[in-house]
Amino acid sequence: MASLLFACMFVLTGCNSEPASFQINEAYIRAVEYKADVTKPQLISEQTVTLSEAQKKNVSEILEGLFGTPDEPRLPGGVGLDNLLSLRKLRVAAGPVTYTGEENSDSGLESGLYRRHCGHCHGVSGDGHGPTAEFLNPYPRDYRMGQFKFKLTDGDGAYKKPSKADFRHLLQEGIAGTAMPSFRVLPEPEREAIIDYVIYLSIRGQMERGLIDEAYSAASDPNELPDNPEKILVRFGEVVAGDDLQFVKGLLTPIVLPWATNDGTGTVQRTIEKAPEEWDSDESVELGRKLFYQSKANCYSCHGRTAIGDGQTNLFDNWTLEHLGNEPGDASGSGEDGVSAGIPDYFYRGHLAQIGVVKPRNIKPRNLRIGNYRGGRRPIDIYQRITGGIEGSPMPSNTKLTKAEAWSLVAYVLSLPYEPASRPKTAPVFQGVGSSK
Amino acid sequence: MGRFWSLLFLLVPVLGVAVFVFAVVPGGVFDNHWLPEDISQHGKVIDDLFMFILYLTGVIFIVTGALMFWFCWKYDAEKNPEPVKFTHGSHTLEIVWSILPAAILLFIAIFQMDAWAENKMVYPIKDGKKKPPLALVTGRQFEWRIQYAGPDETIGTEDDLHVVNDLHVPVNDEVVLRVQSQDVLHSFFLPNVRIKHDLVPGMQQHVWFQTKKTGLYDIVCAELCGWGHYKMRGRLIVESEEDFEAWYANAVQEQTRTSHNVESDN
Amino acid sequence: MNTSSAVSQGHGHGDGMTVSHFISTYVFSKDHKMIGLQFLFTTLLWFIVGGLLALGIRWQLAYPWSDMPIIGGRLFSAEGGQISPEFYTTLFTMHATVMIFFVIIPILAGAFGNYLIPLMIGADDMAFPTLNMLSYWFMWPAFICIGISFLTPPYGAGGGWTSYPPLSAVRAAAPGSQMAQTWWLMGVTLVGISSMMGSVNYMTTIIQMRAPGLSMFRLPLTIWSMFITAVLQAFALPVLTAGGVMQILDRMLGTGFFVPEGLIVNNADMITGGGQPLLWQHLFWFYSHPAVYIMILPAMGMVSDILSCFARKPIFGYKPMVYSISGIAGLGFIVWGHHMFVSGMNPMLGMTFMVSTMMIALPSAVKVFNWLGTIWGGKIEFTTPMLFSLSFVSMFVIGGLSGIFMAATPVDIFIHDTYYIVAHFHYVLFCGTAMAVMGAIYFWFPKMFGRAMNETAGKWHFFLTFLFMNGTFYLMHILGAVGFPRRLADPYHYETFKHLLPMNRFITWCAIGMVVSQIIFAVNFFYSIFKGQKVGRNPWRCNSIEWFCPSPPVGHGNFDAQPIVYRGPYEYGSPEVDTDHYPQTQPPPDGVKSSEEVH
Repeated sequence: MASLLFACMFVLTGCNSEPASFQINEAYIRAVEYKADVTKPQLISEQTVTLSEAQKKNVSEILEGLFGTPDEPRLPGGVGLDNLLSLRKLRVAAGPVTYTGEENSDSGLESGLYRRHCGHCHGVSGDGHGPTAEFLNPYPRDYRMGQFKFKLTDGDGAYKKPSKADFRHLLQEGIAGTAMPSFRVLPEPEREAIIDYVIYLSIRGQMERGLIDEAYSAASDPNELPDNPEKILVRFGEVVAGDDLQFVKGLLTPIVLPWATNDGTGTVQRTIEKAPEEWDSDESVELGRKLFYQSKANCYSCHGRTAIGDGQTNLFDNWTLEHLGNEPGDASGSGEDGVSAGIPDYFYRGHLAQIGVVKPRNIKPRNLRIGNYRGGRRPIDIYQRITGGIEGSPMPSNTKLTKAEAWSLVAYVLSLPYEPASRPKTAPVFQGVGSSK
Repeated sequence: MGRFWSLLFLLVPVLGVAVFVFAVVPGGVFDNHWLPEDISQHGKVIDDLFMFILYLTGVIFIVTGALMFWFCWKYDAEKNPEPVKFTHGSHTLEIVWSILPAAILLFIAIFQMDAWAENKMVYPIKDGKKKPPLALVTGRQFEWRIQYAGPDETIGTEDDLHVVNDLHVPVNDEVVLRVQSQDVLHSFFLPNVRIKHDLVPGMQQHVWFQTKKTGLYDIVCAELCGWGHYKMRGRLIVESEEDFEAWYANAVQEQTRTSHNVESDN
Repeated sequence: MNTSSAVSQGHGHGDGMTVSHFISTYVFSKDHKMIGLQFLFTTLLWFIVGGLLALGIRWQLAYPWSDMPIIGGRLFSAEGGQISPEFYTTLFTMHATVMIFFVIIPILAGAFGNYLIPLMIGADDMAFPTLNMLSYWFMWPAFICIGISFLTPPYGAGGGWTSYPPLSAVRAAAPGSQMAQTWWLMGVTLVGISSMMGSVNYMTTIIQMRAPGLSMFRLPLTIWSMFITAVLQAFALPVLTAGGVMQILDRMLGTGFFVPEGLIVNNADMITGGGQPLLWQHLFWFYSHPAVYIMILPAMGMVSDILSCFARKPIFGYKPMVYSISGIAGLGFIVWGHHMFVSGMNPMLGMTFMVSTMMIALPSAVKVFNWLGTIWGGKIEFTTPMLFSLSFVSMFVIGGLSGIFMAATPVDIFIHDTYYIVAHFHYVLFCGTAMAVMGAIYFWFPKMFGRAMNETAGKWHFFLTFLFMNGTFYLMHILGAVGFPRRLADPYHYETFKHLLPMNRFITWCAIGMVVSQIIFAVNFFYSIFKGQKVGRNPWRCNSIEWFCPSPPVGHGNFDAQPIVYRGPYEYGSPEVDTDHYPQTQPPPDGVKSSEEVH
């Protein structure tokens, strides 16, 4: 009787789980291996070269030494991050969730903000594959490639990192038509902490890719590489040798640089000059319509002849392309729920599911007639999408249009939902209680 | 042991009433653990009805609890030497305690029909016709998409203002909202205004209320809509007419922005 | 579960049990007693599952997003044990489903109904023994379906036990709305079929197989309540089954019963339309409201018998009690709309349903007064079953009174889908029915197994459960008054509810205490089956017929001889005899006529 009670006590106090941990980017490792296989058929060994467990462990250890763990973040010094991110904010965003009354004593705020609000979709590692991710359409962003879709920093045909103002705007508004909600109800200090943490995860993810690349080239070509990553051991900030520190800095600094422009405080949004007068007049809209169907802007080829997004149905975004190992456009057709029929199910189940990749899905061009604008509905947002493109997606930036032409297109796009064709006659909506009709 | 158990049953009405007393009376350990602040015109009827039923049921609770305690105490076999009162019941009592509760229940039912009608059936009239809605509130997984009708008072035209999660309304004005859902069932719950109405896909419905105090209040989704049901927090911002107009003008300006200047924006 | 020692007493078949004999005796048995025990053990196991799911819910509300003990590490190790929001939806969905369909309804009707009905009416078995066996074994495919749903991502169905469309009807609408929801619907449909089989059996048996002299108005209230419950099952279940099938068709074949057109759900491709979400709500609640009476009436019946027995006094107002049971059942068919006051249905219906809902409080009130009348003037013996039954009355008063708030439609605008509702139904279902069930187990255990459960352990079990359950559920009324909503994984996201964390924490620890206290019951139960003190036929000195067969009754046929009934079952303290109880089957002394039907 007593022993039974004791056993129950043991079960009830629970076996506590291990703390949350960053998962290594298996998907990228597999992508690198697959790509190498395809592009270098004359490898030295018969089989595809894979990273050993020891190498993966090394990569993880280096990352832990530089960036810490999900519970205890660190900020690597001497690489230009000091003006961009604040360790204090990272600590507030990181860690297990605390609740009202147990605020983080340093900042007076609760901690664990990322895991409370973001982690279950974006993942503890920022891999876009938290527990909820597989059920969402579109999938949450994987930060580790360092590419982001909606920002006002791009221009002149070049993609730049998002600025903190972009992140703020995104948290304020959410992304319309997706599962990314508006977080405006959170107090501003909490949003700032989360923004820092997201940038931190992105930089960490990019560094992880760099290290994996290095580890892979060492593994596949041992004769050539002077610094063998298996010798690099950066334990908790303690650098073993000067060469190793240089190696790490050499990888990390170019990653940080695009983030920390403007004296290291971060990227700056571009200036968009005021639209010309009459940019939204009927003539301008008509000009925009013509441009829509011409090759200069080439909108119709993806967005379709009727602008409902049916021009191309077998494209992928960058995050998916990487995992497929295919050339863009190889996979054809689209299956149920947008999953491409070109990807055999056994390939997905056999390979991608095991490494924690969500089921690949086509990216569909936007239906412009429903008035839903993911990146924002302000005219400047539409202008940005057209001229600056959407990084990571097949939507290109357009440098051939003049400013007036671009604004005409903006006017046309914004007018589309109000066209009669966009409002088909449907069955009358059941007017409930107290109808005003 | 019978005495002990009787006292245990006595604890039920005693502690039961005590908990409610502590909750209703401000201050103490249950401070702010009662009906949230009511900033609406019609909410008082609901709160008063709640309290009336509370007192009525409280009386019944105390009486039945006390009787149960008393019977357990007095008729404990170990302590009660008298023979059992052998009876199969009492016609009179059955009639009394059938008619009396029936009358009370019917009274409550009929008494509150007005309040219900006012909340759900009597659409506000302004200047002899139905008041047009201020905004269309669309619930979707997992946010509130609000579309203000704008100066033309028609929802769905180009002058509409689109906002997410923040519902601004002017104080002291009867506000009518058209509500709908884009995907699954949601429920538009304003705790401080005593409004709750399910948003049913395929149906457009209306809710109406009038507030009497400015401030920031919660909008809660009150019908399970998926994993993010808890995330659907909106804000009801009740402000003066001037503040509302100022905010509105600002928001429209932001929505129609055709230039972006870094120095002034960052 | 080895009940061979219990059942094989008086078996008379000697030793040498072949495999096929074993299977026909213990597995595919047609004996109502064995089927009753099968139901009992199965439902008690599911009770543990449902209780653990509840603890998961409570843990999240007390320590939101923290490492959930035991299960967090196994399912969410990358997140450090922090559960995901969709997992929370499966926790509350499966908790309610398991408790309602696999615990309360089967234990009342399947376990006690099966075991007691033939015994209490003096019959050898049910009218349709094969159908009876099928009704148990149809539960197993349901268990398997729900089990599979536990294994499909995200570890269960997540649309709430109410399964409202379009959330539950559109597969893209939610995690927990994918294959798990379909398995869930199939499981619930199978349970419905099992219950319908059972209800046909009970009605037929009670009407046709009563012992000579056992008129309807000499039946114990347990049997009356089982009878009326069976009627409710038979008439209400087909509606749920039909609705369930329609929802499966909507999900899997793209029909449009419940899904309107023009939806944009999670950016999924084409969704068939033309349906009405409110149609499901009407169909569902048309069954589920009578279902809640199915879940309380047998408990009320058993409590009446236990109270009368241990007060050593007849039940007060037997006929009004019977009429009340019938009234509750009848009115129960016309109140379903009170679950839908704010649903968007025509508010005129709000008025009509409000009146009928207020009226249904009346028969319940009459029953409470009659119970009080029963113990008034008695000689109360505070045994464990009596304690549970007394507490049933006390707790049912709370649950019933809180229902009046919801019946008042303007108040319901505020408290709908808040913890006020949760408090109400947990009071009637757990503090009421579950307590009555435990009391009934203590009461009829000696009959089932020929041994008594330990009284001291029983009283400790009662005392701890009583304290902890009130601590758990009473404060939920206060939470509901603040407007604390149901089914939120993180209610502290809201300004209005942020400060309610300490109260929720207290509730969680009371809930943990409550679950731990059940260990006493489990140990007592299993220990007593093998090592409990042996008892005779009528250890509680009761009147009804089941106490006059052996404890436990023999396998084939229950009684030594066909019982003949001379009076009602509540003649305790009768002046006609010297003993304080006057069994139904005892012939009257010479010269005295059989008692009139009990008033």
